[in-house]
Amino acid sequence: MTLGDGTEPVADDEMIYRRIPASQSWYHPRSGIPLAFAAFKPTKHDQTGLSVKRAKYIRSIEDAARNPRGASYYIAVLRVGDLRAHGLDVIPCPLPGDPGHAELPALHYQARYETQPLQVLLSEKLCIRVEGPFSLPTLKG
Amino acid sequence: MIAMPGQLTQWGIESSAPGTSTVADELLMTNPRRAASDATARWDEVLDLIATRWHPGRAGTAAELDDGLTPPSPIAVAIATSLAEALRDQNVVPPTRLFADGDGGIVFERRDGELLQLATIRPDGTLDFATYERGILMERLVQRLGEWG
Repeated sequence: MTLGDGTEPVADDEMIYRRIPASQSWYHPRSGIPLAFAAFKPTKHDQTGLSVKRAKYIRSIEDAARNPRGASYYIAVLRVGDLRAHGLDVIPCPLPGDPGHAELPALHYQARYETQPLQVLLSEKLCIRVEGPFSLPTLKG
Repeated sequence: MIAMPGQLTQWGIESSAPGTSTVADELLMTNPRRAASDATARWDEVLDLIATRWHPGRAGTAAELDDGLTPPSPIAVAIATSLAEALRDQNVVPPTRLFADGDGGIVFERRDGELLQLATIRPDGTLDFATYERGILMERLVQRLGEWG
């Protein structure tokens, strides 16, 4: 697959990843209970949309969890076409050093309360699976 | 005692089947089919969890700050405590799951088949009570606690 610079439109058949901090106990693999909706609640970092990563820009799902502290994360996996079928768009939003960064613009911080039904939709219906937890430090260089 | 919305008391406590399996960890996963006699003990676990995990004044960890998360506010912790005590005393079935919402609030989540009920105590003390069925919003009520008659 040829990768662009991250500005090309996100295709319906693309998979996206959302990082879920394991510290928040929003997911318990053996419980049989879906991810808590809070995993898709916009944070202060999601001012223009909920941050996700485009799978095609990441070598392995574990890499989606990499962070400077090596903190532990689960990774929620979703299909873009499924989201669009429910009116949730995904747009490219490349960042320096992170061309696979994308956003769900409907889910931004200012709308964190009124979009709870969308957060529930994502956690209950559209999340295909959750993997991890992974605890990997950011790669240097 | 705080005034509660009727919806919360309608969580019901009639389930009388003996408790079977339960997925219990530090986050309180309760089986909604547990015997009513277990409910008080489970609510006490809720209260212990609130007190130990989100004691008032707890600062966010570095990892939480990195993720843009805010720990439960002192107001949310106080109201969650009062709410749990009130629901325990009224023999209301305990929540299936309890978690911080990452934005200064605390969520009591109850599941029963396709039914999902979310009672979110927002950081300013507002209660956001929502009922979903098969992931579809059926009812939502947002109001400050004490405004219910």
